[in-house]
Amino acid sequence: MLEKLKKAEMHLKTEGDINLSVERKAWQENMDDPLTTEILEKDSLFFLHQSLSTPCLDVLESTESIYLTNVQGNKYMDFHGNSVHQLGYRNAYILDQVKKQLDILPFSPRRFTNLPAVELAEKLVNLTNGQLSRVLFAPGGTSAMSMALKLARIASGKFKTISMYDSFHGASMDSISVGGEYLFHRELGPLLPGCIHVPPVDTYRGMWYNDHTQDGDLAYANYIEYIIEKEGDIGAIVAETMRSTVVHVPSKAYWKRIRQICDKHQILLILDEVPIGMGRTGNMFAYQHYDIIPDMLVIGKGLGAGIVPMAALVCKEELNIAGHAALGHFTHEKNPLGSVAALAAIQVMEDQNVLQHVKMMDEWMQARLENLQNEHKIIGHIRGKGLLWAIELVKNRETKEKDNVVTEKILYRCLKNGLSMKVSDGNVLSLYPPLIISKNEMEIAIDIIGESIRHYE
Amino acid sequence: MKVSKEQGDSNISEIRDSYVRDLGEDIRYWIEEDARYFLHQALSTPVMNILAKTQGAYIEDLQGKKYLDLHGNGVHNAGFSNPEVIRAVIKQLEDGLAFTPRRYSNLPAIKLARKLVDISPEGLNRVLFCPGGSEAIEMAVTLAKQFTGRWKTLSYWDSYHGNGFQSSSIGGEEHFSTGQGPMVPGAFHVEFPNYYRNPWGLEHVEDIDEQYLRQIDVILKRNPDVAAIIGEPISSTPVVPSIHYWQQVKVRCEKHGIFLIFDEIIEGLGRTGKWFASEHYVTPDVLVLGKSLGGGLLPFAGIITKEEYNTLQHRSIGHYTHEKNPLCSAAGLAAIEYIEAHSLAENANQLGQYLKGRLFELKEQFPVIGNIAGKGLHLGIDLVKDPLTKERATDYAERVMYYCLRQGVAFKVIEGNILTLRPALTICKDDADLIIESLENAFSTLTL
Repeated sequence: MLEKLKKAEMHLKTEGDINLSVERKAWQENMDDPLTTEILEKDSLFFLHQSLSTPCLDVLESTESIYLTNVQGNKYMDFHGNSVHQLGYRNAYILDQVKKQLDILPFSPRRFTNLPAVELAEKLVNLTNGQLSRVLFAPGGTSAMSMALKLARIASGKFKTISMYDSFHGASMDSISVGGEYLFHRELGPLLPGCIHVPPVDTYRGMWYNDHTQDGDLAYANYIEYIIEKEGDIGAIVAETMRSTVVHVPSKAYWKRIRQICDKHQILLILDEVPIGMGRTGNMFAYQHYDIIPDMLVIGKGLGAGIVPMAALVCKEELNIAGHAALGHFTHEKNPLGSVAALAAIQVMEDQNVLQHVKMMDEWMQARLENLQNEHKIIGHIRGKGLLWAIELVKNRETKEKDNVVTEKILYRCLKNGLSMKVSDGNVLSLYPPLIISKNEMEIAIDIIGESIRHYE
Repeated sequence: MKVSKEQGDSNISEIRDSYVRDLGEDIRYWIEEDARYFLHQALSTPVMNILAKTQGAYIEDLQGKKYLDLHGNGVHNAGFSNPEVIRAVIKQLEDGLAFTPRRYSNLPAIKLARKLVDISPEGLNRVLFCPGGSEAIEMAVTLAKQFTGRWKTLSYWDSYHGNGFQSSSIGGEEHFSTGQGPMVPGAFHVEFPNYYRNPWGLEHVEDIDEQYLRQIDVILKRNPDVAAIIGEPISSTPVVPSIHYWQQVKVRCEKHGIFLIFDEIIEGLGRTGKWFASEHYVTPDVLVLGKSLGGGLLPFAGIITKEEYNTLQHRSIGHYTHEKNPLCSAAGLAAIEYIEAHSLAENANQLGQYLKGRLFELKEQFPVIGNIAGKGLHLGIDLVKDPLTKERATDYAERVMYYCLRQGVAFKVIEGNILTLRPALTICKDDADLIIESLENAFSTLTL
């Protein structure tokens, strides 16, 4: 059955590498540490198995800076981190602030507020230059997306949304519904009504992408207006500012056009920056590259600094209209511990000029990965922004046929050589290094990737 | 605009305004700051006060005034700022593993899963974690849908299971869905048993149960292809159903191949006098936990289910970043060990009985108390204008709430007139007496 799944459903490996493959099996069989095996077996015994987690890859003992350490004492550079590790692990200042808060006020019921929660809200507003001025917290990005969708319904009085195929917005029924992956839709019966999907920008394989003009992705934006006019009753457009995992970076013209369409048709623009906010793209928020302002911004993951689950909806003042309703009835709405972690993380980003470093690394990565591409025919495409990069591996540059088999082999060889990353869509190496990574460390990581590619090419 | 009071006391009322006016200037400044930056919504912003500290069963505001908190959003089973939990969290931070990406496992996550399997009813032995209760409900329903290949659900009017669209669809409160367009399709609802306010005027428990079970039968006759029945074993109001009721629901689930999902986000981990409220009734197919699972410090939630449902390894049941969170796991494990070591479930049982006894004494004295219900430290007082008509004493309940708040006892009013008492399970008899004293003063001082 698994063999059948592997063959028939390779195209479904969109959100990450699967934990049932032949390579995974070989990885597990080569695990010669009895303690690791024992713990992995226990993990497999007590947890529900599902794709992308249990059965797990390895057992971690500790994390530090850009590294994960397993129970055998081996280190991985973490280029995945479920995107919570913008500032690496165990930043001393952040840990200290969190520990202090534990002794003061770790939790506040939501009918009460507290200083850290208010201070974080104010800080987030300032980071948008006040253009988004209302905040609401939730424990996870999925829940923050639910809040945005509810607010869009209440504010617009409409229930239809337009979102992108291939996108991921969370794991609840509503966020799965706006998400565009069949892997998550299947076998759940009818989803949330009114969720319309359109093709996302794809600068490498996109059927509407025009390689010969500067803003070759405009057709994708124009198609959205076509759908709006045919469908009517669209309340909101929901999208990742830049596609995470496989990494697609739309043009400024694309986003300006969509903003203009939203204004013209009075549609709310909801941008999901759960994985890519908090500096990943070189600006604090990715929309800030595009000279547009969304109506709502959803952030999470790294907001809690890799310590506390924490997410937020940040939106425009005029959307503060649902005082009578429950947008997000979440226990941890006023979470002081998560707020302190986030405030400390933002402080560290500012003190260490992390955004400046990411911008510098952006140019360096572009050049370095172009070199790698020149050396290896198997690399069909490289693309990215800031410290969010994708390397797409193909059998043939002309046909662009995906090389899923080699990609997976490369993943496990990199893991063996101390680099943890994720494979997306079957043939894309997704690179999410911590933003504090040095040029030297980055060079080591790219050497590991290069060596693996050479080994299998 | 009409504001629903189903899920809690309103944050927009004259009494609220006057309460806030009497707080100190510093507190009012921060309340205004909170109202300036946060989206306003029912039950939170505008908030009622600013907290500076929590300790055990008590919370403390910016002016240093202490309140015995009978609400705590349900995270406080092991008490607020529990020193053992804090120690475990700090140790975990210092041991160097606050987070692991979910493709890796770690010992704290496994230890918490193993502990939950140990303490949960026999037959429940597979665990999955996520950050919040809403998401855990989603995972339970997703598991049921994928395993059964069905998509319909049956749940209870007036129930609350979380705030995403799926959990709002299952929940039965207008507050979370009315005026918001189409919800997730296939969500049927029936009434939860109510022995005090049943619409038929029946008095015998068996007769009442039959009427409520009939509502389920009416739906299942036409829709036997329901994936799951979802409910809290004891409602949040609380109504404590008979054993017969849940046994009969379970019979129907088994007959039709329907999952029984118990939401114990509030009731689990000792609150009702046992580890889980399910133990008073039947073992569900999926038990959902949250709130106190994070030890009162961190967001954490999860499901516990049966071995036979561990068949979806090629699917995503819960694709959540914090699935293997070691820090939250350490907090949860420390809280459970604390509850165990200090026999807090037994404390909940004993002090719950004591409180109930004292409340029944008050009921003799004050006819405004229409009904007292609950189990363990999960109690409710239904206030009525007239014991015969049972008309809800809504305004009165709100005044009682603010009166007690000024006396240092904080609780929540639901359905407009029901005072809900859910203190930390760490309270002692003196704390219980403080609750009674404060209520007695309120009932003696305030007139209908």
